[in-house]
Amino acid sequence: MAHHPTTHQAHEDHGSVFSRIIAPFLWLFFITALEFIIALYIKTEETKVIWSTVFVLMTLVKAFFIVAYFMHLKFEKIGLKWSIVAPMLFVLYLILLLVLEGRYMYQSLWN
Amino acid sequence: MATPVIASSAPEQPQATSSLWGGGRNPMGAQYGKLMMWFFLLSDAFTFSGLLIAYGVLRMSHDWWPDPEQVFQSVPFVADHGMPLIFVGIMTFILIMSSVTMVMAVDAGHKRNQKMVVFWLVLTIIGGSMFLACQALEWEHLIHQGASMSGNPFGPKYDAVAGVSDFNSPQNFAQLFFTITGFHGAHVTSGVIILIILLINVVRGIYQKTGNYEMVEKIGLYWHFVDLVWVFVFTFFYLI
Repeated sequence: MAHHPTTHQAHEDHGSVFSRIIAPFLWLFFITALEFIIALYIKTEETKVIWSTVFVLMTLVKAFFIVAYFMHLKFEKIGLKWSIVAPMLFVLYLILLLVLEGRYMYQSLWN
Repeated sequence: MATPVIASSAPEQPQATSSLWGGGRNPMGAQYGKLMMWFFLLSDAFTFSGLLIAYGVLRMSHDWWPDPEQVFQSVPFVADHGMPLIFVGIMTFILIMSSVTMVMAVDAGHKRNQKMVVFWLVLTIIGGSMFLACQALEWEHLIHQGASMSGNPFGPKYDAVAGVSDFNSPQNFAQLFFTITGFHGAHVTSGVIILIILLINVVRGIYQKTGNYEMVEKIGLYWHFVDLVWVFVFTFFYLI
């Protein structure tokens, strides 16, 4: 195997251990802890829909921290970033389509 | 399209050309193996999306769905019921921690610190194994309560204390749970096996000889992806 002198140098300049590892971990930890508190003590039958939306948003924030910092995508080249993110936008469209279809199925089955 | 490459003028050994896509360079700034790991993970993300979207649509099309706080009440060896979501909280914490130790292993690899790579990899393997053990205990408990691929006891009349079963409930619930957490668990299992192989290679000094620990980074990507999927599974199965 050839020695790639550039590969390990390229990663050294992206901040301290705190900003790259500890801070994202603390975010993940506190968001998850908050989710538990909401699910166990704050969420009620009436506010279920609102909190479900909040849970999805919190999940997306957690996903951002994992992909951007732990998986290092934030520091990759723009071409690599978009080749991963752009296809996922089609998944978002699929979610939109099938959520609407699911609502329609619900209405025609149960009402 | 990018600038055409004239094949006949290509030299015997690949050399860096002036054009970015002309060969001999990494246009995406990542080595081949790492790039392919990213694209594999993208395809894996589609698979998990398919499963989770199917779950979402089926759930939305039902007028009643089991409440996770009613279903996931047990903590093995502590209480059979009455402790909603505590156990899955422990599982989530274990997996996030194993992701952090994996980042530390990748970081030690960049510094070519063999001993620290070994140390963090061992912790990651322990974390992954603990998660799998927790999942096995949770599955066992649910199967004992009557959950299976064809039946779901957690109906509208289900009572965790009395253990009353009601099979007039969404049949898909237990099946979707076992399929999706099982598919995720299969990923964790293969992740632990790959990490053990990686650990053996690191201990043997293979990456010390080749001069870079990029393999740790590639396996790390896979491990973080497994953690990422769990974040979504956790939200859609246990919280909402």
